[in-house]
Amino acid sequence: MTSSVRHICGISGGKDSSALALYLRDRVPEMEYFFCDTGAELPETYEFLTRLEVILGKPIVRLNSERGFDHWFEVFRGALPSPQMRWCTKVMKIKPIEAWIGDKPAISYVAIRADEANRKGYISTKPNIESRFPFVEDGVDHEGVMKILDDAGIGLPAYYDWRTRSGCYFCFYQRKAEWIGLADRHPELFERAVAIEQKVLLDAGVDGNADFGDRAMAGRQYTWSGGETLVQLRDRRTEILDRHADALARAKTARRNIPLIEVLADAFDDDDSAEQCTVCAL
Amino acid sequence: MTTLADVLSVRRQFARSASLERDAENVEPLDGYVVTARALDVVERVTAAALGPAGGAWSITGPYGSGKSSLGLLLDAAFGPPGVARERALAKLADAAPAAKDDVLRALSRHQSRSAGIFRALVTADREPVARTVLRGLHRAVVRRYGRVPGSAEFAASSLLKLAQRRASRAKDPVDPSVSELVEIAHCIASQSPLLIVIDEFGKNLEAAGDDESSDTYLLQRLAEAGQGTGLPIFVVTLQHLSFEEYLANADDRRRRDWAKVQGRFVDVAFTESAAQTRALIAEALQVDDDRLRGRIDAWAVTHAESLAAAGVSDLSEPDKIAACWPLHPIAALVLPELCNRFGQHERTLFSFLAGSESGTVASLAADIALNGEGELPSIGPEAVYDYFMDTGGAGVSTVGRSGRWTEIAGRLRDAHGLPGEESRVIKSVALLNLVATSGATRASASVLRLVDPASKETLAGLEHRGLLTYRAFADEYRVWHGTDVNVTELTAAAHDRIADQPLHQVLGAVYAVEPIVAARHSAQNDVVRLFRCRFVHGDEMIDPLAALDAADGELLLVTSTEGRFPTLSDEAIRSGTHQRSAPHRLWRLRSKPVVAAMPDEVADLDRAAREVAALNDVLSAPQVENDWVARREVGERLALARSQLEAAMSSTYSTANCSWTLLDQSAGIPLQPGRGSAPLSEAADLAYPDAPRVPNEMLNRSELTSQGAKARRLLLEAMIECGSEFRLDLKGYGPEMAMYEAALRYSGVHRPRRAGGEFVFGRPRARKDRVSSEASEQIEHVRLTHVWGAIESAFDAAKSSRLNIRDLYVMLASPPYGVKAGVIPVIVTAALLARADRIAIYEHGTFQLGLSPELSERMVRNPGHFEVKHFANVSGSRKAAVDALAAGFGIDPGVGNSRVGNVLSVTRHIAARTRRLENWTRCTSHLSDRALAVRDALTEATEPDVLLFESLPAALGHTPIAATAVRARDGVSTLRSGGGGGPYSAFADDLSLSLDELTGRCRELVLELCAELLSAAGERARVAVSGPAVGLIDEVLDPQMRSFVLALSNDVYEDDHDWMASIATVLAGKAPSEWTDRDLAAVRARLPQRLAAFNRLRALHAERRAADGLPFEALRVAVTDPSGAEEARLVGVAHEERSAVESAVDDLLAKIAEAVGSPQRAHNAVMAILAERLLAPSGAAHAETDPLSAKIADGVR
Ligand code: SF4
Repeated sequence: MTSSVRHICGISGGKDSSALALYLRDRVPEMEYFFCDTGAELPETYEFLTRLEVILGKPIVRLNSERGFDHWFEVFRGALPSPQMRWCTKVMKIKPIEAWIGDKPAISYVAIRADEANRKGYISTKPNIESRFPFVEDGVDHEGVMKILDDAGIGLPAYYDWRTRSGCYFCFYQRKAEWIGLADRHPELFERAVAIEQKVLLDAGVDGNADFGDRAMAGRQYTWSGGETLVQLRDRRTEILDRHADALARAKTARRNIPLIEVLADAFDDDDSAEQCTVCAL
Repeated sequence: MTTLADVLSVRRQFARSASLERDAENVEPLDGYVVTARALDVVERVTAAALGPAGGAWSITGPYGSGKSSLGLLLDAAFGPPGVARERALAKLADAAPAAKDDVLRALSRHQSRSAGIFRALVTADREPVARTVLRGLHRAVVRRYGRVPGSAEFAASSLLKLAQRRASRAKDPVDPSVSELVEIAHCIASQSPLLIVIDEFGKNLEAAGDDESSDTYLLQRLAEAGQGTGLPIFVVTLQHLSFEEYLANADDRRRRDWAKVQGRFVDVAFTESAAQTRALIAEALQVDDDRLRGRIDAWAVTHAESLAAAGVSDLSEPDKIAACWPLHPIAALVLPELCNRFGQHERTLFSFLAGSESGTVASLAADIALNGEGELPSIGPEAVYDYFMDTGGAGVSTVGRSGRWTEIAGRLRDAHGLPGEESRVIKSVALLNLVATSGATRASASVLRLVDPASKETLAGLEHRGLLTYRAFADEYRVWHGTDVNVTELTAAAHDRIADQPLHQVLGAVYAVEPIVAARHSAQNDVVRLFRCRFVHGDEMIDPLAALDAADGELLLVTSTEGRFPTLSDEAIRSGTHQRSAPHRLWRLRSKPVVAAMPDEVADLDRAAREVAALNDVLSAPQVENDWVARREVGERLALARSQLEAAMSSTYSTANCSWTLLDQSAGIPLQPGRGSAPLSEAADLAYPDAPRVPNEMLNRSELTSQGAKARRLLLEAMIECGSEFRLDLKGYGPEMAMYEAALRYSGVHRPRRAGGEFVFGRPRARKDRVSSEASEQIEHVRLTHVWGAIESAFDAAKSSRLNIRDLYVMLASPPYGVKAGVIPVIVTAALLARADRIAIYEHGTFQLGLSPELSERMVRNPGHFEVKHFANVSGSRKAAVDALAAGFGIDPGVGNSRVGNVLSVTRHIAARTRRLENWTRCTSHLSDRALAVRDALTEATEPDVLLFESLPAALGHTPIAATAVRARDGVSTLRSGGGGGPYSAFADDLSLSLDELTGRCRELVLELCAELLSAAGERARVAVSGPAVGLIDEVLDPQMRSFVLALSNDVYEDDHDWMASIATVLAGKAPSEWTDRDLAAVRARLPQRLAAFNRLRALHAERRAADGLPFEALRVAVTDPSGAEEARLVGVAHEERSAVESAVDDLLAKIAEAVGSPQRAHNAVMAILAERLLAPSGAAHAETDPLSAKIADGVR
């Protein structure tokens, strides 16, 4: 370590941050890559991370791997995160990141693209951290990102087939169509999310499942997705998929010649919220 | 004319407020002083403490003017040196209670202080830190004794006191003394002679404490404890107007909690006089000088007494008491105490009414009232009282207590001013009675008013007729304010009927919330707060006791039946009888937290009061009442009254002396002594929790931790797990986690060095070997953790064949006889787990864990039920031989931590740690040796360490299982292979090592194999020979797949061949090798040679171009699928240089063909088809080989 300034680059498991990592591989040789592991990422994300790690030829430090979602779910005894009480991002991402960075000066590279310069990523408020936006500075846009990924031979994380962001499998910022995607691709994770919604942790506890139903906010029915339980949501499968298809078509006609990923990202069903996890999805 | 003033002298005590500092040396302020019952009570408490073994602390809370400062002076004089002041004080005490004087003298003698008195630090607080106030007091106490601060020969803390005094009083940057300095000074004083600290106006200290940060709380706590704990005669009395909490209303939560703790150290004494006591004061103040009047006064009193008795007023019905208050009319005497308390400053207001010189007071009225030689005696009636309080707003009459009723009454009477004498007299009497009382006998009833005016009936009728008064027949009460049409009495009666069948305990349960009660004495002695939750039950009930992990330590059942039957405990609560303890008392027959029942002698009052409250509650919600504000107010008032009666009935019904107390067990119960206050609960707690540890840390030793406490405990647990071998767990500073450490682990002897100067370990409470000083042993004895520790160890020992759930352990520790508080349990359990780390396996959600980690501990604290432990004793015989061989083979250091040579767990943990992070590929591949595959299966299926080590792994490796036998290695011999030097099991150990190496290394090896394949296919030996040339090709490959392959080859940022190859392999498979399946591997094996062949051709092509003209070219991948679906791909290129020539030729060609076939588009297609056929058809392959400008690619699996 010659310089006392650390160079850090957060990987979310999504395409932009991965492309940035590859882009900076030769430019900033002393780069430290990190990934905040909630223990609840999609299998596709974990697979993609190893892929990226091998190609980078450098380890991606897994932050928080000791205390994943299941840990906090047990420690908070079934209190669930929600957009109003977003402890998930705080305890599993922001705090571990800040602890890992410490108080030394550091430069953080943020994967905001040139074509979305007004988007916000996780930009630390700690005074010792300086943020840089290489894609914005160098004019790398969506196409540029795809080229970087193609050249590296790494491709896209497999979840892009059905979901637009990385993050927890039960993320409450998911769209309804994405929940259906989860139910189709990873029925076991969907079941886990259904159980968690009822404050039950599957395969925990000494004999079977741990039920926190009588603990946190007992009696209050929590739902991951606005207005309905996951079971109800799954029962509306066809309806949701139809609406989603409509939305896709609408988005496609609104903007021409755009890649499918972008179409997916633009296609909101009416009952979806457009918010998302800025730390988690970049 | 003779006036009342001529025969009456009004004493003036309380005429001015006393000041402790100013008046202490004077005898005079005690002159007119009357020792009231309250004052006597305090003096008796202090005296009793001084006669007892230790000191004491009291906080006296009483309103302005109730004579608290005078009490301070009385204490000061009584315990002072002999002289006039002491004589006076003792005489006053003797007047009030003859024994009191003797007790004070005995107390002085006991401390050899009769000749000089004790040290009295009398001080009035300012808005300043307590430390400053106390220092002033201590300084004064010393100066009063010696005339100055003497030298250190006479007074050991002399220089400390002088220094502190100097620092505190210097003009620039004064510094308050520290807690320890003050405590030291106080100790030094008290070691000579008792020290009495009296702080008047203590509320000002509290206000200051609310403002800022200081260590004040700690100081008072230390002083109070100095008196209570270890026997130094230090007595602290604080005098304040409001309770601690009220002063601190604006302080933050933490400060309020701190002060609540301090208050817990003080005995609270409420300093208010009862009405009867106040009337005794009145009598004392009004002295009739002319004895000839005696007879007339007595006759006057007797008449009134009869009338009062007839009106049902029992409060003031004895003639001598009435006589003593003359010339006050009995009705005036009746209402005055309440009036002064509610609307004035108590005795101060009372005396200003009696003795004040302004107009309207008794003293000034007396001068205008003629006293005839005969006939009825004149008196000063309720109207005078009314005038003084309501109209003139006499001195000391405050506005604070004035309710809406005060304003309304005053308003209505003002409207009705100018009434003739009689009417005015009557209406004012009604108003006054309305003000202080609304029901009970003291109310404005017709019979009471007859006392004021024998002819009141007509007067009242007139007033009622004019709407100035209302008569409420159902209550027999006149009122100067509105009435209502709603018949509250009728509604109430109906409500009573509705609840008549409801059993009392249910009625009470609905209307009265009993706060949990602290077993005070037990709690103070054991450094813990033991809380009993209360509820009402019927004697017939069957009781389920509290759950062991409930926050309360026991339950108090307030029995509402008196048939002599106590509730019974349900069977479930009764211990099976297997649990035996050496201590010879009876409670270990119970498995559950103590349940105490209080059975009152009498419940009639309580029943009445409770039903009244319930009925009125019901009435209050009736629609007609809800809509009628007057009725609502009336019900509200009745309810307030009923509630206060219920309150009174509760405290008398369940006062310790009026109940029989029993600790329930499975038989007749254990009778408890009534004693004072919560004494029976303390006794029950003594019986239930004889083996509770004493952990002197309030933040930790409680049922529910504050968030700050929880954080400190988390840090402590983390330090225990991570720095267990360090001195003080390597904790720095003096944060709360350090305090917790000291209280729970250090003093208890649980964390101490293994040997002198050695590393620290956790273990059975014991002193450090090198210093078995009596002090350390005493401390360990005091903390009393040994029983608890022993219980945990036995529970561990019993968990050999089946697992022990940690929650069950928590339950056992929380239950009798241990009663460990929930805050402490995790700390002790963690210490015990660490002490036995080498033998205790931990399972979470049923799965074996490598050991305690901070995060696992966090989860265990929250959900102990998710965890189990099992005890693996050190093995012997052949198993020991096997374990030793494995440990030797793995190079496990036998000396680590507490573990002795090779035990089952350390070997299992080693294996588990090594195989925990196996790659996904390794987990599912079949490209492993049979042994490695079998070992992998054994590891995946294993749940128990011993089964794994002695059964599954030997079986997987073709060895015989290792039986638990003491016979050394007999059956081990059969598995012994030649050459296994170390012992009978070294072959097993070697085999296992090899398999583990294979499992952990195979994936890497595989990548290296692929690397070798790649290099040989490329005809190169080193990767630079491939990556170097690849760099030159990057810009010439357009095909994306080929391009990323070439880019991967060219990339040489990697440390070694493995990493380089891994990235190439990842590009080829679209997945990292560690994530592969065997199908991915097969696909890579197929693709690699194809891509390499293409790469080789490309390279050749490049080299040739370079050799020819050094010109760059562009390569393009062309793929053709023939009708059978077979695909041919080829890399073709055109040199930059040749491009324009070729292009114009092609243009010509296309133009020609277009003419022939009809359209340019068809021409393109035709040319492409024919070219493709020629170039790519199998027949063309041979041709292509010779063309350096093209390279064939065939992708295996698509
Ligand atoms: S991905 Fe969603 S659930 Fe997960 S941490 Fe982010 S906001 Fe929370």
